Amino acid sequence: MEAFSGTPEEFEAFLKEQLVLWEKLIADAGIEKQ
Amino acid sequence: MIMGLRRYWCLAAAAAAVLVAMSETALAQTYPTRNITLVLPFAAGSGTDTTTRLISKELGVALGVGMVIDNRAGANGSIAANYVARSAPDGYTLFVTTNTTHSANPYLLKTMNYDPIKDFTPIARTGDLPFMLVIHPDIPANSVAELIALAKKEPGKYTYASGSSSASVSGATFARLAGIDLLHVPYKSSPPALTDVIAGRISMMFIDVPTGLPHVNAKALKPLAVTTKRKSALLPDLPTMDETVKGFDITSWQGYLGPANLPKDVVVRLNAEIRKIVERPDIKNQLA
Repeated sequence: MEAFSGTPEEFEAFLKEQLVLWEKLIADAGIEKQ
Repeated sequence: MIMGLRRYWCLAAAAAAVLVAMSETALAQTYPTRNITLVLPFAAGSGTDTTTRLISKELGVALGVGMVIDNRAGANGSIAANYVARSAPDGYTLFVTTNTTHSANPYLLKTMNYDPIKDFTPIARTGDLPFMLVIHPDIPANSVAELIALAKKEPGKYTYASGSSSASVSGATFARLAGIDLLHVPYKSSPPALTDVIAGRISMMFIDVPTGLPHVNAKALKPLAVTTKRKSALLPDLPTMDETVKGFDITSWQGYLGPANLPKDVVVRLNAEIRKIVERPDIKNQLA
């Protein structure tokens, strides 16, 4: 693992960005909800 | 009379707020006083489990309490996530998780029994975990391009296992971008998936580099490419998926969270200790 960290606020912002990213990744992969 | 009652309830509400604040401060000042449970959404032996055990050993020393690892695999990590979300926000039940529960599940699962933002308090991100595509050594392909050619020659013959969202989304993305027909075989967690790929029951899987590397070194698995756009320091000669499958770029992340409404001072304490640990060169080396 490439280990690094940051503040809780940075982590919260990252979590929100990742939700947007993975929504697109999953839609582009054509995966349907199970 | 009415003004008197209103004043009474205002004072009562203010007193209650002060008492809550005082108890949170008291908690933070004495925290921790007993063992802390780290709940994981994956089984023992998974990449998350391995890195957590390393970090938690140091965290326990820093905090002066024992750290208990509680592996609760199942339902794509949502059993563990829901358990932590319903736990008391006292700092004694924490969640060590990845993009599986907090980035992917809302778009993979029809029913969610937790909200990844509202039900949790972010504490500290701990890093990124690159994944790699590995195949059984008997499969006659030595590159992603050769694997694609094989799969196109025999659609539906080749299978991919997954034990996490990073693996399942990587497999589906690979199949779609490469235009090949692969059969997906999902598992509760990576270790049993890996066992079946090594045994030859499943053709391939995307696995995190640290977990897959010992099996690659033992020639039990053949690595073809990493999922990130840049190469892995652990396997610098391994190509990236993007070199053959344009646009392929998937990274898994890990981090620590608590239930919603974790006291701020507890978050600050945990964040400070976790950051000190993951920034240590010796820990970075062991985690790499």
